[in-house]
Amino acid sequence: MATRKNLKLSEPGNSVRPVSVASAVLAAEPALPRRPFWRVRPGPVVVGAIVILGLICLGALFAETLAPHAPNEKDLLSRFAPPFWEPKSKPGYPLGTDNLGRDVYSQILHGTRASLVVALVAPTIALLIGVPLGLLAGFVGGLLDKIIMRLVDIWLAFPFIVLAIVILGIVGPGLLSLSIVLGVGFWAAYTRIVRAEVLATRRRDYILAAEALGVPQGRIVLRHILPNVASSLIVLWTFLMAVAILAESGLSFIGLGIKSPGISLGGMLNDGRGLLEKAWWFPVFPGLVISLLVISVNVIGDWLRDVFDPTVKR
Amino acid sequence: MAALTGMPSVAARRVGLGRAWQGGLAKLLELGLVLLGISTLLFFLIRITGDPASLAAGENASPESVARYRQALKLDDPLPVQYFNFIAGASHLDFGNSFRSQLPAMELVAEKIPPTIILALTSLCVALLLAFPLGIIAAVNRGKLIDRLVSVYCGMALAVPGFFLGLLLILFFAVNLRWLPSIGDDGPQHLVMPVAVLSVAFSALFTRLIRSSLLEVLHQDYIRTAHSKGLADWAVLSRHALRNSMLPVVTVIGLNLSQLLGGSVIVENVFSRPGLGTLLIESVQARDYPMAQAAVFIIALFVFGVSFLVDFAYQFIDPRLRNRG
Repeated sequence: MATRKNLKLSEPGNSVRPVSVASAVLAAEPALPRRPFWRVRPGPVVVGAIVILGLICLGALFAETLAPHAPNEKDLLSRFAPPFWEPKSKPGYPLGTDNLGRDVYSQILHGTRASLVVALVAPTIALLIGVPLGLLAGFVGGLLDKIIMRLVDIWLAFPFIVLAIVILGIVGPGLLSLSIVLGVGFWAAYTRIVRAEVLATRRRDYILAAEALGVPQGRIVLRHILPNVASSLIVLWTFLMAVAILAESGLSFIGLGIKSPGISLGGMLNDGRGLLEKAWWFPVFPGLVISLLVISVNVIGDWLRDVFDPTVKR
Repeated sequence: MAALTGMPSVAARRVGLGRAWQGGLAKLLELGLVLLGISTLLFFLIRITGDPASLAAGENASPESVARYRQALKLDDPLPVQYFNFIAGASHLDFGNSFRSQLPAMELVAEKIPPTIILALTSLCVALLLAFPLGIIAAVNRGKLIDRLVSVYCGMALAVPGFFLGLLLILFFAVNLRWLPSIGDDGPQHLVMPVAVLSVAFSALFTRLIRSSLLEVLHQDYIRTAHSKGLADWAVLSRHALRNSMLPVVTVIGLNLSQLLGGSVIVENVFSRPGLGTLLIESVQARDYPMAQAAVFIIALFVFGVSFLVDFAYQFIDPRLRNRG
């Protein structure tokens, strides 16, 4: 238990720890001067995460050339082939095959594409919606600010996955509708950060000076406010990538994300859940890839937050 | 999310005893608006993207039967009239009959509430039982090996998707060891794996929160004072530090009750457990919209009911809020 020495050792300002995506970023106040990110040496864990993420991205980019088979190519003679280290494995199927004789490795390579596309598109859509609203709330203030911020609170309180399930059920599954629904779902986190940042910076001397010089508001926002918010936005964008990957695979898992013949990691787990006894490798490998992907993105996000804001420590 | 950073929301701060009623009324009004908004969105989305009558009649239905459904569902009325009738029905929890079973949708949804609540609350308790020791140990031993281990656990628990963890548990405990039943809901042994899956993710969230919240308090002057007047470490920790670090913890627990409901949707699906989530997904997949709308409505009602209660809980934890306003 606690020793007095330990309790005394905690220094002020060292205690902020990420609670959730947005608050983690919120906790980071802009601190100057910022060190450029190449000056902060990434630790071995961060390097590992970057390497894993890089490998997964390369695999998805060059899936056609890397995959030994087409993802939906059936080989009924090689059904239920186990992964390569088991004696009954078949050459050409390194991670085994599923109940239809499709190559698990090739499916994973193609499946990561869907994850990565959603991970790139959804946070970007959210940024395009959330940032203008945050600027508006912070700059105009008054009633508009109150309404926007109540909407943000309400939006963040609701389990968005429930709404996403129903909306995707109505408009139909697919990569595009999934990206849009998730993108719209994430807007509120950006709005909150941008508004907080606007309120924090708009009374600073250089903004007042710009206003006194008669610089138009739009120009002030673009030249003086947005650059200050940029680092927080990049960090949030990274964390939302992880959330998007989890949401995409979850929705595909319940059959509402990406539907066959489209391939996604979550969809593979869904196909494989009845095959646990006969082909455990079919659901387990894509599940591992999702987990690795999310861990890497989160580790990189943590690192970026530390890089952009040296005052926030663990 | 202001709540997540440790500050009570604006609404929470307003609920001092003096303004409790006013704040409560404002919250109720807000709840009504949210429910109206969600119901309206779904109402129009359903009508834009398809024809409910042909869905209600089912596949391969004759044109006559579709026309009969069209009449029964009053889809020939002008849209504003339809909308008004829908909202009027929804205001007393009447969402019409399920397309599949022809029974009132709300009754079918109400049956599925208890299993979901049991799952969510049990998971919450388990998550807290895990998170308090982990968070306290990590905070007290900040930077040491055990703190790192806890942080690794949290990182993994937040990254492994619930449905994957669920399948892994089924693989080990149901398929290989045959200790536990994999699917269904028939007695407490069916609750073990779903609760394990749900509570792992939330224990990680709560552990991080308790750790950071405690660290924030531990360097305050009054903690040093408590130590210097010779109090035992455990007394300082339990009576001075923990109590003061609880405000953000309660906020996040309150907010995450709703996320627990969201998480239970997918966990129920993994283990084929009856409940609101399973019902919601089945209804959506069968395009049984009255059911889906009723389920979303009930989930929203729960979520905002909980946030309402959390706001009131502040007053008991933080006496400073009582005297305000």
